[in-house]
Amino acid sequence: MDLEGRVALITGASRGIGQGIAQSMAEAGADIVVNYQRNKEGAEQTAVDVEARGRKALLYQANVQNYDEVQAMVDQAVETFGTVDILVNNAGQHYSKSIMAEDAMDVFHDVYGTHIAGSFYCTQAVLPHMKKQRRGDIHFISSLATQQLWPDEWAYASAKAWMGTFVKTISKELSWHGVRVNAIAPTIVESDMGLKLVLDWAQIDDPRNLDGIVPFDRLIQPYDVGNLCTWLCTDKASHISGQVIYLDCGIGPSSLREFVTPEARAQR
Amino acid sequence: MGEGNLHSLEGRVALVTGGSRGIGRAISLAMAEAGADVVVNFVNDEVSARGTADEIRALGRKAMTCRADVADPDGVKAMVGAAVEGLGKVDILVCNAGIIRRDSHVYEADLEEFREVIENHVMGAFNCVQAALPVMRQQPRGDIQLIGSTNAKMLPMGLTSYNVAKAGIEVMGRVLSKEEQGHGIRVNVIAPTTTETDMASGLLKRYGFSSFREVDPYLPLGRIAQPRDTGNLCAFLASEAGGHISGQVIYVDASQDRKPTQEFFSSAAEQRSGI
Repeated sequence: MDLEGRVALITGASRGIGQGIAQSMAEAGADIVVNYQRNKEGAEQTAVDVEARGRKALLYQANVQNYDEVQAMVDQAVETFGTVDILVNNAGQHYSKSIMAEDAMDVFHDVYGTHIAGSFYCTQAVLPHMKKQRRGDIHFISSLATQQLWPDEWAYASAKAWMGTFVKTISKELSWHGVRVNAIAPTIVESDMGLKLVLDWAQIDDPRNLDGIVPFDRLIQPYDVGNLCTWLCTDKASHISGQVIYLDCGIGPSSLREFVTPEARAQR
Repeated sequence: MGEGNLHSLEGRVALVTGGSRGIGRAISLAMAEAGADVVVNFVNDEVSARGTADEIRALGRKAMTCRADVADPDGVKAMVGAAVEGLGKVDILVCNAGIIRRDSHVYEADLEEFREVIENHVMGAFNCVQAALPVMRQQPRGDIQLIGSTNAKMLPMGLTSYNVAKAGIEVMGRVLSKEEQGHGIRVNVIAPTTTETDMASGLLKRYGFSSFREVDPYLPLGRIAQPRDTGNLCAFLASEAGGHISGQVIYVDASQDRKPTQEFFSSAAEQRSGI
């Protein structure tokens, strides 16, 4: 299998996209470090999914905003599995809130702390190991929010946009050490976080009612993100680095809302 | 994840323009390895086109060769007709055929050469897309892949016709992805950097190397881009695993971004001679 013998650390792997990436990478042969912050039950489910595919899982609770915790997590991963070959910076916080809101400062610290400081800390902690083995893959999970630029997503969208610039800059230096760095930027994925929004727009309860209506006939699933992340780690993608790949069916800055509202569905 | 082999192209038919050599040949073979039957288009080099077709058949897939100049709309229509007759349909189109003309600034550029490059890339892609769409729209899924170039973001002076042509390809791909999304057709632009082909061998001579392997250690990620790097991405994007990716321009450039490949060759030559 393509990722046989490799070790992937996935942050925020207790549900949604992170869980999908863990399943996909385990399917391809990787052992997985399942990071989570609060949702232990979800993380345990991810571990069960990984083990059901014949791979090992290490459950690790850590807040990516705390560098000591991140360093301890990577140390534990290396002690358990010998190294970390793949890092997926997936842990995220979504807020939709006015810049004038009273708690805008809290939103700023939480969103920037998780996406920017968190993914930087994780990258810092794994790089010595990747450098030593002259090979590594680092993925950042960005978002279509960076193109949609909705006012209330000022924190989320700008933090996700930071990832694109970070990827394009560090990938140049890291290419001399065999480390590839890419960002994957999905539109809304059928996970608990994104699904609620889509169902609100559509004013329906069952997402299956959107099959055949949304672009390419079904909502993007966590495993779609996983499949792309996994493929990018394989030898087949060995010259792809420094890219931001949107996983959005080509809808770009327009929104899924334009496809799913009752009015849009009536017009079809 | 999901049903069956997510990377399989079994049951699909790919038409690859300029499929006889270099990147086009690698795309054809990557598609065939994933299970697709392939129409190998060529304009001059029939011997190489047949060679590519033979390799595809050796992989257990069907192949046919088809001569057509992509800049000729009638020739392209006839080619798509022949493909449908020969292999039943076209549901993957890769517009790869391309030419490059001598360096010159706009001030002194030759009108005919400029026109030729634009006709070949922009009109060529337009002709192929327009001829293939009626067939493709009848399929449950279609894929159109346009081969761009890092030139479209590097914008080297003196290669205006090529830069404009490849930038035009990018825009066409991004618009087309929106237009055809409702018909189940994915459209992406795959944009490689300087790749180890006949076209790039001039760089070796210019900097005094006899083999690309001598330069590899001086290039990001340890080697010059291979035709297969582009081929692999094309095959992935056409598969179920890449099925929700559309409207993208993906550079196959080992993160070298806007830095011209010749600068890596030049510093390789300097480092080797100890300057």
